[in-house]
Amino acid sequence: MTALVLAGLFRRPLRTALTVFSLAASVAVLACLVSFGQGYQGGLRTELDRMGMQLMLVPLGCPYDAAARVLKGRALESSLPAAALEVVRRDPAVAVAAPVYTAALVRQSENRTDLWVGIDESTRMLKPWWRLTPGSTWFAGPDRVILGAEAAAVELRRPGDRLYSPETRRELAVCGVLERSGTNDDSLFFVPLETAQRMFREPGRLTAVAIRLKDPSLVGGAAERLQRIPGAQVVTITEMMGAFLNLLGAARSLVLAISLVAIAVSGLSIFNTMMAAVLERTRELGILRAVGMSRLGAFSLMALESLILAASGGAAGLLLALAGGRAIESAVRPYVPLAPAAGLPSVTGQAALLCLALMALLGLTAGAYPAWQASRLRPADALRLE
Amino acid sequence: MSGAVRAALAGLVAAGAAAAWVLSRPAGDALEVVDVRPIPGEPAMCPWRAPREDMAALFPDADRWQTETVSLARARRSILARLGPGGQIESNTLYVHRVFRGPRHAGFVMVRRFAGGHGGVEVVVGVDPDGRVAGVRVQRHREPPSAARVLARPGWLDHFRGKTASSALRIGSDLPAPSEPATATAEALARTVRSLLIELAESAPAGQTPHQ
Repeated sequence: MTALVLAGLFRRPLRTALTVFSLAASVAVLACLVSFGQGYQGGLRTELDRMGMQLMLVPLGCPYDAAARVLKGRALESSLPAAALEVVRRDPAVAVAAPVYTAALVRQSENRTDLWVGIDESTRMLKPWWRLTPGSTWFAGPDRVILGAEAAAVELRRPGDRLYSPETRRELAVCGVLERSGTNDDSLFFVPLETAQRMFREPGRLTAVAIRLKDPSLVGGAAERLQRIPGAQVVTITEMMGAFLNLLGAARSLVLAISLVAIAVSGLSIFNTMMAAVLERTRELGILRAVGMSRLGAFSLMALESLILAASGGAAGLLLALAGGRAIESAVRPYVPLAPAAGLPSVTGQAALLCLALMALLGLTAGAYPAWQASRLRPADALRLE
Repeated sequence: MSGAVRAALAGLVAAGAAAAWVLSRPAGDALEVVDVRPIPGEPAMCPWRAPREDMAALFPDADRWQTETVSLARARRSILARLGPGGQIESNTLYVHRVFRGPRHAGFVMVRRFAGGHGGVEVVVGVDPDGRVAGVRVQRHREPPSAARVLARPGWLDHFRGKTASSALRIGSDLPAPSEPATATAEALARTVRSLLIELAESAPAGQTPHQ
């Protein structure tokens, strides 16, 4: 039976290859899409969990844009007065309120941006997982800098070295280097809050206040109280995550619809290939029936052929997704809001299983009618055909 | 004794004999010793940020380039010997941009990042097909103005022209001593240029010059 099926598939190799290729392209898109979605959701949740906060106080404007900019260490066009920090710290539900001042220095010739983040001691309470490399110390005074692992690698700095900021004409002492965390912190330059405010000539101003509550269930009341601070607005991390996932979800639905249409078209292509195979091999099927093959046998022969065709397309599609997933990810990443620092997986096990199951179903469905036609052939009629 | 066991024993004896023959040969004879141990903290490739501008300055009329990856594992011992005491190889891989003027090979460009006094400094070194420095440019640095004036100024960098892998590139003798704030970075730059020249020269197959 298997030999007959394979012989049938290789009888028209170009037609088989084209069908497999069309299936592979659709499966590759679907597999990448499902995997990226899962990876993005997981990565975003991990990154937001690792922020160690439930709320963020940002200047008035688009709250999600502001929060995303702060989380990514990008500069905001407006800022908060330092007095807002005192109000936040006085709130009974607040456990930790960490002031943040971020500024971006674009280095055009290098096609990169230096992200400077002013922080104080309270940030360490928000990020207890931060580990400093041996020889590092926390800020012991102004004009010190702690470098993220990636920033230290680019600047080739170690604790005890000097670092100069040409744009702000300030020389800083490298007091520490963070161990690699796989988050955006890796590429940042952390300086004492007052140093950052002086460097960027905004004394007493803040970009945001990151807030951890004594009890996460107090988020509603705390957000309502903090919302009353003039010129400020509160964003909850849950809201932020929801907003980003909604944004992603809309784009994902569109691409999912397109890839499902592509898979449906591929199903029609299998149907067409199998119908053509039945018509071409009517005489052969008649002989097989005449020498004793049952109706079920004829049905199984064509159904198996259709199934193998679909499974080959599915497997080839998964290989294509694995091979091209990185390229697709780097092309898509710039358009994904708050993309996790860790790479998105090209194909997850769950996505691969889903695609293979879908292909099996497609193969059986698309091959069912041609297989039924094959099983209905009467040997005498089939043999009469020239 | 079954055939399979006999074949396995014969294989073991042959492998043992081969190992004994290899071990009995004097070191440095026909066998080549290749050091492929990974280098801790090996840096990633330093990008060539402005190839068009650098090519125009280092190899006028050059119109294209092609990046090649050269393994230094084979030449590691000879490179270290030429670098002298304290010399280090930071990577087992040398990235060489081969520059062309039409169909003709015009030279090489190598880019490397080194630790300057106040941050990473990226240097671009042009080498002509004879292995002589065609020019040196600093594509990125973080040095304060006192040091930047020296490093970014073509005047001081011009003294690298014509130097080869055999040049010691000592500050004060082969190259003029810059003013005090730039000395440490200038020395690091000279060391980096020398390392690149030696790595390029030594990475060529035996009996060939790097440009062949």
